[in-house]
Amino acid sequence: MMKFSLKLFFSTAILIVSLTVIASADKKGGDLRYAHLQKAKSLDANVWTATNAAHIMRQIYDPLVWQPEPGKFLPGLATEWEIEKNGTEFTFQLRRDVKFHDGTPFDAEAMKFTLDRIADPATRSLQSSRLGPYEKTEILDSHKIKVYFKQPWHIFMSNLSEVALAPASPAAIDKMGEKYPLYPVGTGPFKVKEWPDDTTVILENNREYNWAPSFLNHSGPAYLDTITYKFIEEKSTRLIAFENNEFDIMDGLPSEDYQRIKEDDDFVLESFVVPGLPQVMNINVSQGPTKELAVRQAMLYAIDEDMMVNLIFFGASPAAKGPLSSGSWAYYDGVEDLYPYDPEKAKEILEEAGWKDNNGDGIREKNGKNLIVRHVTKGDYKNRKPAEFYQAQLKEVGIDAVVEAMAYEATARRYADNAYEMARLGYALFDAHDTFYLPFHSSQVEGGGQFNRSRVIDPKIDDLISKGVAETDIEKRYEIYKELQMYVMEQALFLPSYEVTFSHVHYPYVKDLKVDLLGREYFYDVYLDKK
Amino acid sequence: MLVYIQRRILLMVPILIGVTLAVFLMLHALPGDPVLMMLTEHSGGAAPTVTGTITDEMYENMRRELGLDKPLHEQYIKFLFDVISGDWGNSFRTQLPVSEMLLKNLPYSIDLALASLGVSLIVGLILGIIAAIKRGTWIDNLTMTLAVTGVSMPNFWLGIMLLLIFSLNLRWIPAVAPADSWQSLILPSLALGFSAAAIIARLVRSNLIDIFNQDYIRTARAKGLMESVVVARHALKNAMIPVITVVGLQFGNLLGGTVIIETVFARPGLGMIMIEGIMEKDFPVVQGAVLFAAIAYVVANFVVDITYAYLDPRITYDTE
Amino acid sequence: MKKQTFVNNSPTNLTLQRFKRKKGAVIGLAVLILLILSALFSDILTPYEFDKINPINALRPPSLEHPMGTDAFGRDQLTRIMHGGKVSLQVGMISVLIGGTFGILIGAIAGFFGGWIDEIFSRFIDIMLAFPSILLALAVVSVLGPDLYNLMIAVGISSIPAFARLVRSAVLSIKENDYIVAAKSLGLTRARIIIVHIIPNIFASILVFATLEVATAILAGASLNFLGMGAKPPTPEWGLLLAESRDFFRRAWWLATFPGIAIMVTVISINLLGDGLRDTFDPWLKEK
Repeated sequence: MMKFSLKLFFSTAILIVSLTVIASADKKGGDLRYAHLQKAKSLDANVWTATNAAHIMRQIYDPLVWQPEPGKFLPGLATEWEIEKNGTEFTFQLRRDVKFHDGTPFDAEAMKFTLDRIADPATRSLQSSRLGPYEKTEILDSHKIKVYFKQPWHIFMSNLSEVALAPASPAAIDKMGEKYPLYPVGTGPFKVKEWPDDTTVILENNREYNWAPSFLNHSGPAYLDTITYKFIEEKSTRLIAFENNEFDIMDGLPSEDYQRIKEDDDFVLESFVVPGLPQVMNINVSQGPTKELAVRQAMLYAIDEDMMVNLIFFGASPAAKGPLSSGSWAYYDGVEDLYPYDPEKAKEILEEAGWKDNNGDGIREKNGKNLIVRHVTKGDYKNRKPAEFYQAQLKEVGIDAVVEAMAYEATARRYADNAYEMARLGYALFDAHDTFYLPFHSSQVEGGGQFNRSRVIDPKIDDLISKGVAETDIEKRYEIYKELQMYVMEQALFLPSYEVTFSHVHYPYVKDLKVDLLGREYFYDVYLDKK
Repeated sequence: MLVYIQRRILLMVPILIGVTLAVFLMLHALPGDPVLMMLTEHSGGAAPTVTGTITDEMYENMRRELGLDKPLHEQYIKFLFDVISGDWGNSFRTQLPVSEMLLKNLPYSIDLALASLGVSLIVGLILGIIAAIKRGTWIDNLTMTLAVTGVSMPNFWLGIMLLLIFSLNLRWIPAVAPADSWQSLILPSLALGFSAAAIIARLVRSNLIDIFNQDYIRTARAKGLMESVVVARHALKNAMIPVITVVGLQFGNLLGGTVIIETVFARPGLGMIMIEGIMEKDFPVVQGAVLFAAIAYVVANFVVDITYAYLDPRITYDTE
Repeated sequence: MKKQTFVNNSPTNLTLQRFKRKKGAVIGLAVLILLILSALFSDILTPYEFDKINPINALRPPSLEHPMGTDAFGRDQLTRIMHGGKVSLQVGMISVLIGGTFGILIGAIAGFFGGWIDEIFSRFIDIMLAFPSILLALAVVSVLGPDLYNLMIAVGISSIPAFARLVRSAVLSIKENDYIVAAKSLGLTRARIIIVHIIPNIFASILVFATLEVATAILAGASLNFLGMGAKPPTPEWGLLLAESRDFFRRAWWLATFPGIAIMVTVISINLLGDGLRDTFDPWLKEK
């Protein structure tokens, strides 16, 4: 079965859209207050990492192309494009009627400036990897550019649809200098008004805006007058403030309150599974007892990820089953039946492999060595709690999992030193290629970001990954990824844990809210229907 | 006295240099490569994203741009001279000037420190005076136990309890008011202030008891002055001197050490900047924030000592 | 002060008498002994295991079977708190031991030798005091990895300057006493004078201070757990229990309440004991 849909659970939003055909004059603007889970420290989309600020950047920057569904691109600031020479040359025709917030006209010059700036090491852009083997941008005429890459850069269109490569005003960057990260200037429907303090940023309506993409509901400027983001990292505080109606919308709902809020008619809860690699616990195949396939497979039989997510996430996050999250386009549900929870089978496999508990301490041994695995993970609740749960279940079958939960930088060193049997990984990505390349390709054991924490070097995996990225026919690509999914599961390279979900809750008077592929809101269509 | 002040000011210099050296060495001894961290995964976030492969070239470029490729002593000396010339550097990550980040957050930290000191002074004085007057009775025991209760609760726990009671249940105070409003100070300063109240209560009590036993108070009593007048006019004034020391030191600590309360109440402040900096290995931010906190501490200490000298004529400061 | 007649007038007995009159201190001591016993014998005292997952029992409110309810994994909370007591009391005591040992040494050396040695050590103490202690703790934990013992080291290190200051000023005040001068003139080595003559003389003030520091250390441990570093799972350290419970405040009040009460009772008891000790030794002690 193929899943192209993104499992967007937006039934309420869709219903509201289809039922209410209100003339835009009736849609009142107003001031929206957002309790946001993480502090945005910079809003310079071209430089700053997208993870914690992209929700806000989405309102400020418009991209060259939009990607409402994976692999489907719609005109944004570029009206037409052409991809030539096997994906090394991209030509874009740009819109002529677009202005940045500061009045600077958007043109080929500005777009070239933006891309060159990202690629320039002196900019210290954390987004330069999105440009990959970038060579140069050529200005063909005032509103036409051609971007050259040294090698095929298959993911360029997808990256262009992100805010990271969206054009920024050259004049503003020059004028604002060191302050630019706080006061970025793009072409989006909202612009930065002020930062009252480091935990609050206020956006205001860009009244000039008249270039909304076709998949959104209206044209012209947005309805909302302002959006106030307040960063509240402590989740219980965030929820209390939201329930007090100090805010109209919040994200990062605590799992513990998920069911209660979901069943409460006073609130609208929307959540969806982030595509990419779900949270997994990589099993190190290069050393220790986990070198043995039998041990790894026994571990997979010994854990019950469904029970784990029920006890820890209370239904807020589904259990992960394979290397792709169920929100990914190439997800194959055949992985779900591979390792049912079966502790007896796990024990059997371990016995057969020679791991027996002879001294009666509950932990199996072989050749005088105890079956101990060191699980190096992050110290936050969402990583430590599943680790603690798996530790208890592994103990049931005679495996002693030592959980070492620590800060990210400390885990990074342990991973680099190959001093672990179990690690952790998980990230959001649109495309199946990167989802496999980073954690399973042999080049990523020592190179790159060293994300191959299973430390698997397997020519068959490398080969399938190369085939997958070279294939252009989507049906055939899917077959390749299906095979990959089954193969990495058979090799038991990781324990699936849970799927990362993005969720936000708002009051019912917040209308017409849509999100992008990674769960970031489009506030462009939103209006407040307060009585 | 003047010589003493000069000596104290001179002494600040080696302390501050020591602190910068300590924080510099500490940052470089910490595990994890800041460049690799910046370029790959970022701590926190609902869904960390990875956007392509990091090449060695990207890595080396970033190291060079941040000046991390230079020898350690060179980096430190450069940092020291930059600081002296007023350039506190820019954040590795946001590239914003560190001095601006700190100055922008300083008022919030000062507000909170003052408000919580106010709370602890009021609570501490009241409990201390009651206990001293009723010393040896069950009231003394009760008030002192009450004072200790404040210091016995972890800050974050007390903070969340206050939120639940006053924001969620009673709805008296918003959970997250704008950071510059007085409402936003109430709960955090209560949570912080109660823990310092115990120390002050204890100090006030024991000092008052001491003073009660001294001649001039006995005289005052013998003259038939009312107990409350004795306490207010004569005893308290003298009992306040050691309290000032504690308050001064607390103020220095509060400026940099309130990250937990800042987190619970989503307040901007110096503590938050420091902790985030260390989590993200943003060297210039941590160095700047620590130096800032150290200066605050040293200056607070200095001011306390000077005030002390003025308040208590018995103390003389001779140059050794 | 009330006058009392004593049958036995030996100094030890006098002290003991004085201590017994401090009801708070006696109660504090009794509660602490009770806590320590329940922590030591937690395996025998409860029928449950502290780390075994039992999903059917998840998040049960307090009942006869589970007087303090169960956690999200269905583990009996009373059992976990009893086990956690072992850990938290250890954190308190060992970190004070670490901080005390180094602090006393530094303070004693600085105070005893004086001159440039004092100058250097005092500046060192100043630097440590000016360095934000939470950052120091975070640094220690991230260098050494989050682990109970590293947590103790971290908390211990941050209490060094306080000990050092206390000891230094105490040493300074007794250094010129006749018997120390006499010992010096007898040609005793300096180390011997410090260890044999000076430290016992300031022992009382150190004891009082250390008692109170145990409470501070337990709370510091809890704070570090709030920031996500501390005990390894499934160790039920109190601070960790409390930090994890903060999301359950409304869904399962017992998870947040009981570990909080455990910490509070312990810290109050330690404080009462410390205050009692201080008052007991009062003839020789002034509040520092």
